[in-house]
This record gives sequence, structure tokens and C-alpha cells, in this order.
Amino acid sequence: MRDVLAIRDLYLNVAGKAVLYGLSLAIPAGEIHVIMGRNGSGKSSLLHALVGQIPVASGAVTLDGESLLELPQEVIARKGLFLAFQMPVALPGVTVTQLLRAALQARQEKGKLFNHMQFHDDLEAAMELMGMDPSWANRHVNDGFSGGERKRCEMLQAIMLKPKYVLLDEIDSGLDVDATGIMVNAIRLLQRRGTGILIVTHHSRWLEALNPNGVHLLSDGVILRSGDMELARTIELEGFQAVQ
Amino acid sequence: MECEKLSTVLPADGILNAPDGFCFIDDLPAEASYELRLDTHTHCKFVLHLGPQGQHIRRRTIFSLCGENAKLDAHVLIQAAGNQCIEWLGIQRHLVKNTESNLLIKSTAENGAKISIISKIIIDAPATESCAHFQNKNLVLSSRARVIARPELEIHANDVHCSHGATIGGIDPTEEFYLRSRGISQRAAKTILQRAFAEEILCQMPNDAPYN
Repeated sequence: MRDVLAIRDLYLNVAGKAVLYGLSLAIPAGEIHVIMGRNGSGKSSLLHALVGQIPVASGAVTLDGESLLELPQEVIARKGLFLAFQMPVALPGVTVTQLLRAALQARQEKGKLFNHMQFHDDLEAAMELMGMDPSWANRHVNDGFSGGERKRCEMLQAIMLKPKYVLLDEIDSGLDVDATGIMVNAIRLLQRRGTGILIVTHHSRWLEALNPNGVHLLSDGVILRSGDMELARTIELEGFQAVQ
Repeated sequence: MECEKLSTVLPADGILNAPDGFCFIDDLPAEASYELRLDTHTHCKFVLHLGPQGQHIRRRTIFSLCGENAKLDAHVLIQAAGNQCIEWLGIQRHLVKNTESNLLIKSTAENGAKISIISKIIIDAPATESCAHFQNKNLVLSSRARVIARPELEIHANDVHCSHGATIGGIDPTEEFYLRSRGISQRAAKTILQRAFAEEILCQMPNDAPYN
């Protein structure tokens, strides 16, 4: 049976306000799905709920049939969910290398030795793919990074940690043309590995190169419409009014 | 990098001459009081780690900038755990003009530990055109731990630049969540952030200082 990240009948309240009411969505492994929606429609809240940052009111979230709800954040991450934050926090004093090593060691089987050589080789290759200078490895995570650099650092982690599903919260915002191309290549790499990808974005143009399997309109707390790239193009050209 | 270890046996008058470059004062008794004097054109980079010296540590340090163009960059790390009690009393005293002192103290208090940081900048009347800055950041890691911070200024001269400030807080929950979202356990995340907090001081320490 194919792996799947399944969200069923999800209800979510944020600061006392109902944000999602009965949202359902399934993302099979190796597929790219996109969620679009107005500002404040609950797109980011959904991603944060999936990784355990916001408690859900009711519903089910399963990864390969196993419930993720009520699990501590670190366990959800180790089971295979990775969120690339829209505005990731800075960690002064923690280098990119330290963060990645600690995250990989946390996934290591007990009694198994950490392969430092392999780690450095993988990190070098991932940084090259992301167009990052090797000196990045010793920079403090997101500390003094520009918006675009933060996005690259998020994607670098997604490549290194090899999750089953990557949730990308507006990963394209603030990126120049070259950086967007790098991001597209990284997403393709993840897809080739069989990683399922859920993208939240406001722009469809950069998605053309990714040819997503599904585009979903989030409105009124549910997935109002689902389609393909044509839906994203219509939203970009004519606005949400045209598809609601 | 050369790092001069100052005498661990204090002279009777408690006065030490600050060298030009890095220096640290190691393995003094838990209770110690001394004056570090900076002469003309001396640029002293002072590092100190308080914590391993004992259960009750009381340290009184006077940085005296006695010669023109003397400059002090001091970094102090205080780490208290268990039922430790650490008291820091520091004075940055500027006696002559054109002198500069910068003191950064970072502290972490765990379990039922208590830390008291009283640090004062004194600018004497002749010390015009001097700069003195004191910054203090404290991390409280348990509801039983206590940190008292009291930065003070006493300025008797005009045309000086002085600043002081202190913050007290816990581990930032958003930073902790970020680490946990990468699969790192809550306990390991706290340890990483605690180490990261100290890193700003640890990275100032030369390679041959005892804490590296």
C-alpha cells in the first residue's frame, strides 16, 4: 500500500476563533500538492497543526495509517513530518551544523554510531544544491540571515533530514528568480526521493515547473475546490472570486 | 592565541596589573576580592567563568582604568546549579580621560540556584571623553532559581558615553519549538539553547583558556 498523509474532518480553533471546520485532504507519497487561499484562511494554521504546534479541536491526522495527533512535536518530526517555516526563528549560538547533527542524532537508532564523514559529505552536497557557500555550515541558524537565506536554510534541513513529508509554508516568498530556481530543483529532488510535498503559496507561476498533482482552494475552513494547475492559474489571473 | 593567567595567589593589597591582550583569573578561592588596573594604552581582554569554584561564590572585581587610552573588554560567564549561590560585585571605574570599558555578563541559574549581580560604572570627574558599557543577560531555567540584577551608574564627568542594562528570562518557547520540530527532544533542545546562550561568551575565550 502506498504511504499517505491523510487529514480527515479536521477542526481547528486559533485564539478562540474557528479556523478550520471539517477539512479533509490526502497527500500520497511522492506527490506535490498545493494549497491556495485568501490571507487568514487558515493555510499556515493547518501546517502548524500538522506538526503539533497548534492543538486540533477534532478530526484525524494519520501518516501511513498511524495517528499523529497528541504526539509530542519531536516525535511527529521523527515519524517523518517536516515544516519549512514561513518566518523561521533565529538561533544565535547554534550553528547550522550543530542543528543538523543534533536532529540526525535524535533519529539515530540506539547503539548505532553516528557517521560523521557521511554527514559532512551529505551536508556539502546539500549546500551545493542549495547554492550555499560551505561557510554556511558554521553560521548561526538564521541569525542575521536575509529572508531568502532563511528559506534556503529551511530547505537545506528538509534535504538533510530526509522526512517522508515536507510542508512548505510560502517557501517562495522573498526569493529572487535564481533562488526560486534553486528551490524548484530542491523540491524536485525531494519528489524523486518519494517525499510527499504540501505547498502553501499565493503565487502560481513558480509552480509551473513543478507540475503539482493537486491544487486545492482553502476557503471557509474547508477545501472548497480541488483541481490541477489550471485552478492555480485561474486564481492568479482572476482572483479567488472567480473560483468560489 | 596567547592567554595570560593572572596570579592565583593574590597580593596582600589585592591589586593586579592587567596585561595587554587576553587574561583570565583561574582557581581563586570561592570568596575573592581584587582590583585589576589598566595602565596607559593597555587593551585588556578579560575572561572569567564563575561556577565551578564552590557552593557559595562571592567575587568582588574592580576594573580600574588608570591610564589614558586604556581599554577593557570583559566577558564573564556565571553558571549556577543545585543550591549554589553566586554573588558578583563589579565596578568599572574610570579615573582618567579617554578610557573605555565594556563588560558583558551572562548567567544561567538552574534548579534552586541563586545569582546576584551588582555591577556599577563609576566615572570620576577627570575621566572625560570616556566610554563605559555594561550589559547583563540572565537565563533562569527553573521556577525555583533566582537571579537578582542591579546595574548602577555613577557619573561625575561630562562628555562621556555610558550605557547599562540587564535582562532576565527563560528559554524562548519559539526557539525550543523550532528545535523540537526538527526531531530534537525537549530536554536536548533546552541543553542546546542553554549552551547557545553561553556561546556569546565562550567564543570570546581564547583557545588556551581553561574552559575551551
